[in-house]
Amino acid sequence: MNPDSKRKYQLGIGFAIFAFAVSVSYFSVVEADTEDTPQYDIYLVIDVSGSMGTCTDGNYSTGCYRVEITSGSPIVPAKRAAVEFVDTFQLNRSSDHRIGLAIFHGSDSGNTPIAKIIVELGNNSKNLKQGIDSLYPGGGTAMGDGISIATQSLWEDTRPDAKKIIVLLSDGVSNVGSDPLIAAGIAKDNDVTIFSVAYGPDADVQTLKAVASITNGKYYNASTGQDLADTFGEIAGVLISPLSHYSSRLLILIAIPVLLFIPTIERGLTTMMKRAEDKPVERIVKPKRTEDKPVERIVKPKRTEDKPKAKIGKLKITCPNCNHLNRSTSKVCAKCGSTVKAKITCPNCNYVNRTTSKFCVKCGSTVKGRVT
Amino acid sequence: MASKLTLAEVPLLIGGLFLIYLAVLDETLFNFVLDNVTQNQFTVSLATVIAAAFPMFFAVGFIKRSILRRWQTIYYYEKMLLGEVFWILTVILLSIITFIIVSEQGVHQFNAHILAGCILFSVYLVIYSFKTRQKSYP
Repeated sequence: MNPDSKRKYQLGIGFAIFAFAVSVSYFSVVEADTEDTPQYDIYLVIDVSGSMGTCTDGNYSTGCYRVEITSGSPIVPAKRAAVEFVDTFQLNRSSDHRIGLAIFHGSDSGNTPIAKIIVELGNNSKNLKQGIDSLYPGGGTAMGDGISIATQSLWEDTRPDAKKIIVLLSDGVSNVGSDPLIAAGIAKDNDVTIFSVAYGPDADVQTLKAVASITNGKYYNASTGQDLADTFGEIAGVLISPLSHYSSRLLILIAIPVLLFIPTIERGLTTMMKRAEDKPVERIVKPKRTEDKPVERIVKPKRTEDKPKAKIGKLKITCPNCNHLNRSTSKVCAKCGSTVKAKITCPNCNYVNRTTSKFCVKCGSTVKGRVT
Repeated sequence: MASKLTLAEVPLLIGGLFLIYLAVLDETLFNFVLDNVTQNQFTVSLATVIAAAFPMFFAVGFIKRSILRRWQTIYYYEKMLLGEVFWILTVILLSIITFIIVSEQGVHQFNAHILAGCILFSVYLVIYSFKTRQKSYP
C-alpha cells in the first residue's frame, strides 16, 4: 500500500470510529429512570401586570385606565400554557410532585407591589386550574416580590427530598417593589432554581436571564402563544424526564484519541503480532524407542561424603582408620599403616566373603566387585 | 514511548489537561447548544458531541506536543499540528467558551476557573505561536 492510500485508509478508519461513537452516543441518550427523577416543589409565578391584558381605555405609555382580557391578551396563552404545564405532571394524591401558583403585579396606582400566593403547594390539579383561570391582569410589574413570596412559601413548606423550582413568566420590565436580582440571590441561598420565561417583545430579557443564571436555572424566550405553550412543555419535560447524556459523552471522549492515534495503535499491534510470530516454539522431542534395543538406564551412584568414590570394575579397600582407598590386594593401608582386610559382602544374604570370591559361598549370588 | 518533558512544554501539557477537563466536565458548550434549540434526543446527542469532541480534539494535540511526541497521529492531524491553524482554532474555541461564559451566564455566575483557564491559555498560545514563528522566519 502506498503512503497516500495508507493515509486515506487511516482517515477512513478514523471517520468510521467517530461515526460509530456518534451513533452510539445518539442511541445512548436516554430518559433517566423514573426512580432517579427527584421530587419537585414547583411554584408557577406569573406576571399579571396590566400589560398581560388588553388596555381598552388609554394606553400603557401614557396611562391605562381599564384593562380587560380579550382573545389577543397575553394572559390567555399564558393561562393555557400554565394549565398544560400542570396537566403534564398528572398530579394526584400519590404524586411525588407539588405545584403552587403565585402572581405578581402592582396596585392600580402603580406604586404598591402586590405579590400573592393564589394556590398553596399541593397536588390538587383542580384547584390549580381554577386558580389559573381566575387570574386577571392589572397594575405594574413587581417581579422581585413575586420571586420573594414564592421562595418564602417554598422555604416554609419545604420537603427535605424535594427540589425547589420556580417557573417565572413575565412580559415586562420590573418597575415596582424589590429588585429581582436580589430576590434571585435570596432564592439561590434557599436552594431554589428559577426557570425564567420572557414572553413578548417588551420582556426584560437581561433581568430574566440574570435571574435564571444566578439560581443555576435556565432562561427561555417565547414570542408567540404557541411558543409559550411549547416552552412550558419543555420545562416540564426537562423536570420530569431529564435526558441522560453522560454515558454517551464518555464514548466520544475515548473515540477521539483512538481515532487520532490510529498509526501508533496500528504499529503497536503489528509489533505485538511480529513478536508473537518470532518467539521460538519449544518442541519436545521424545527419544525413539526401538524394540530391539533395551533402554539403557544410567543410574548415578549416590554420593556420600563419608565414603570415598569407588570405581566399578576396580576393587578398592577402604581403610577403616583413615578412609584411604587401597588396592584390593593390600593388607596394610598405604597411608596410615592400619591393617585392611578386604571383604566382599553379598548383596543377597550379607555374608562376608573373601576378596577373591566371585560368588557368595553361602547363597551363590554374584559378589564380584562389591567391596566394603 | 513517552518523551521527556522539557520546561518549555509544561504549559502545553497543562493546556492539554485543561482542555480534557473542559471536555469531560464543563457544561458551557453543552448548555449553550441546548439553550438555542429544543431539547430532544438528537439535540442532546449533538450537544454532547460538540461539548466533548471539540475540546478533546485539541487536547490530544497538546498532549502529543508535550509528552507523547513519538506517538504518531494520523497524517492530516499531524500536518495540522505543524501548521498555525491548530493554534488559531484552539484560540477560537477558547474564545467562544469565554464569550459564552461572559455573555450567557452574565456577570452573576462566573465559572471563574474555566474563564481564567481559557484566557490564560489563549494568551500563552498567541505568545507561543509568535515566538515559534519568529524562530521559523527570523
